[in-house]
Amino acid sequence: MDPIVLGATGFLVVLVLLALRVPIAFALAGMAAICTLIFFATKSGDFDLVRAFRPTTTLLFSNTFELIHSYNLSMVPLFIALGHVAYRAGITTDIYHAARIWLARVPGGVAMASVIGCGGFSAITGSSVACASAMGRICVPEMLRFKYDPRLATSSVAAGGTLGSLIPPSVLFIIYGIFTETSINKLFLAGVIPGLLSLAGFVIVIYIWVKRDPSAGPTPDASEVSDGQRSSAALKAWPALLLFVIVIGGIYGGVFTATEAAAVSLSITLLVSVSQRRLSFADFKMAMWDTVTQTSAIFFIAASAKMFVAFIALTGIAPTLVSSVEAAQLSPWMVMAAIVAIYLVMGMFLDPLGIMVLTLPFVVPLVEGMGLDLIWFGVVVVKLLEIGLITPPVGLNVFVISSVVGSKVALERIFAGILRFLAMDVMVLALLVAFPVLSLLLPNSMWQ
Amino acid sequence: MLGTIERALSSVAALCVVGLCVVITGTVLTRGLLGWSIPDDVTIVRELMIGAIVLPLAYVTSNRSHIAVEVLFNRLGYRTRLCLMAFGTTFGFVTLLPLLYASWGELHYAYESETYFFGDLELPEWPGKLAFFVGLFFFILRLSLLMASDLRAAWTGERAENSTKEI
Repeated sequence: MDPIVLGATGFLVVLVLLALRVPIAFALAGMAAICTLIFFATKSGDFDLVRAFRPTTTLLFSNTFELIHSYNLSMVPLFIALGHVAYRAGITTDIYHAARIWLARVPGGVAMASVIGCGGFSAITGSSVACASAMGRICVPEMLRFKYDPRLATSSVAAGGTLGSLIPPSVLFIIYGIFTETSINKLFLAGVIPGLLSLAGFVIVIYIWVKRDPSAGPTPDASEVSDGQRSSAALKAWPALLLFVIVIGGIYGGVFTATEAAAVSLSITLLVSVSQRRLSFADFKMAMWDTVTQTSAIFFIAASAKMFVAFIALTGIAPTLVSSVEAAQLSPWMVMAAIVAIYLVMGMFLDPLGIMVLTLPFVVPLVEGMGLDLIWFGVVVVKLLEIGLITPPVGLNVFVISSVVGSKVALERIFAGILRFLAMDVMVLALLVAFPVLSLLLPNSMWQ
Repeated sequence: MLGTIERALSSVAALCVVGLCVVITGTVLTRGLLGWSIPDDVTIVRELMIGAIVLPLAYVTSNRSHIAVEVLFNRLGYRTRLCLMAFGTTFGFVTLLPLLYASWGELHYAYESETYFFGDLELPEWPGKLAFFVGLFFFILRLSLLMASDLRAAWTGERAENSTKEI
């Protein structure tokens, strides 16, 4: 069987399996096993399954084992544990509480504080959905109590939650780094400015929204806040700021690697949480339990994708695709526009991790072939995946917020509010594509 | 019984994550303060990763926590959804069996030939391979039980084990 046909068929069958609700990991690993077996069985012209069995199982095992048996990837469980421990200790929401007090007199201030709080949460955890879920439970009921427009109350947190993937540490950046063999340290630094830019964009959306319709974000009546309260709230947020400084400052200054930053941050979080009596042993146990289940599910997808990528590499489909695009003499910007369109469409239906592992084996050789920077491309991809988290019909973050508010706000109203944030996201994306320096400034100036 | 084993394996995995944190932080501290690092720290971390990732797989599977795309699924009828769930677990079980076979072969080889990692401590390779095999074995075992439960549900139309989230 022609390897290219086998590769293309394997990819299409994976898409069908995903549509049939076969778990992503099962679909990728299963098709990798079947297609690799067929590849080796038909390699020398005839069809010999017995001969193909050993190389197939060896390939499957080595790809899975080597991915998990990795020193650098130990940052994934460590960053996930950091997020869960900090959440249980209340550290992740300190930034929100501080911003909430500082912006108490500003129209729309609670919504702005929610977005800033999401930024602070994202600087400690690496998951957008976790960010939306945790912040949604705190911020949305508070905004609804202050008579905020339900569309603003819900959509601001759904959009703010997407910052979890762009502001480091980010699980998506780590997975991207594994599959493209790019520096995760650089990817983390590359996400900082685009993350802050997105955050600023969301605050601007809220400002304009409330400026045009003051009833959408009224200033709470009991909003008299003393200077003492402001200082106390700001001081209480020091552990969250310290963690951000350790991760970003440590990597930028060349003090330690991202893996070491993850371990040191987790140790400091445990130390601070226990010394301030913010974390009980039961909380710690729950945090670790959540960590291992989440990590295991993520790694199972990554390992399955690694098997599938190994099969795709055998078929030689990626170089063929690159040659076809080169032969078509498309400009890099046309190819980029096509890639952006594909990610936006896929983002409407698929989960971010699934999109990433399905597309990277094909897209990265193309991007590399055009001489584009893979660190910059990583930021663009993660931003696109973030947009996918709030686009209908399957905006994961919107569903998360919807499950938090229940029947109080209809799903359609949340999506109606999301459109303004989506417009800002597209503008930020355009800036990131047009000005790679926004992504590359920090990684290119880091201490090597 | 299987549930107890799955929870025990997940607890060991949690200890492995704590171990990762201790070893890496210890290396950073000893390197910065004393100028030396924990011997074979990289190998120890890599071995702990196997425990942290593979051991909880059975528990994750028992809770049906594997990520899936549900756009089309949610629009289908009850019986069709039961059939698709049965198909998913059966497909996973059948196609992942070769991985279990391969991991047994690798464990057997590592134990018989007494292979070890180069380094100060010359740590043996078999414990990591054993953790990988044990995690995968209980994962496949749990998957086979889910498959049986899902196939029964698809046949009878009754709800399958732990399927509340999906159906």
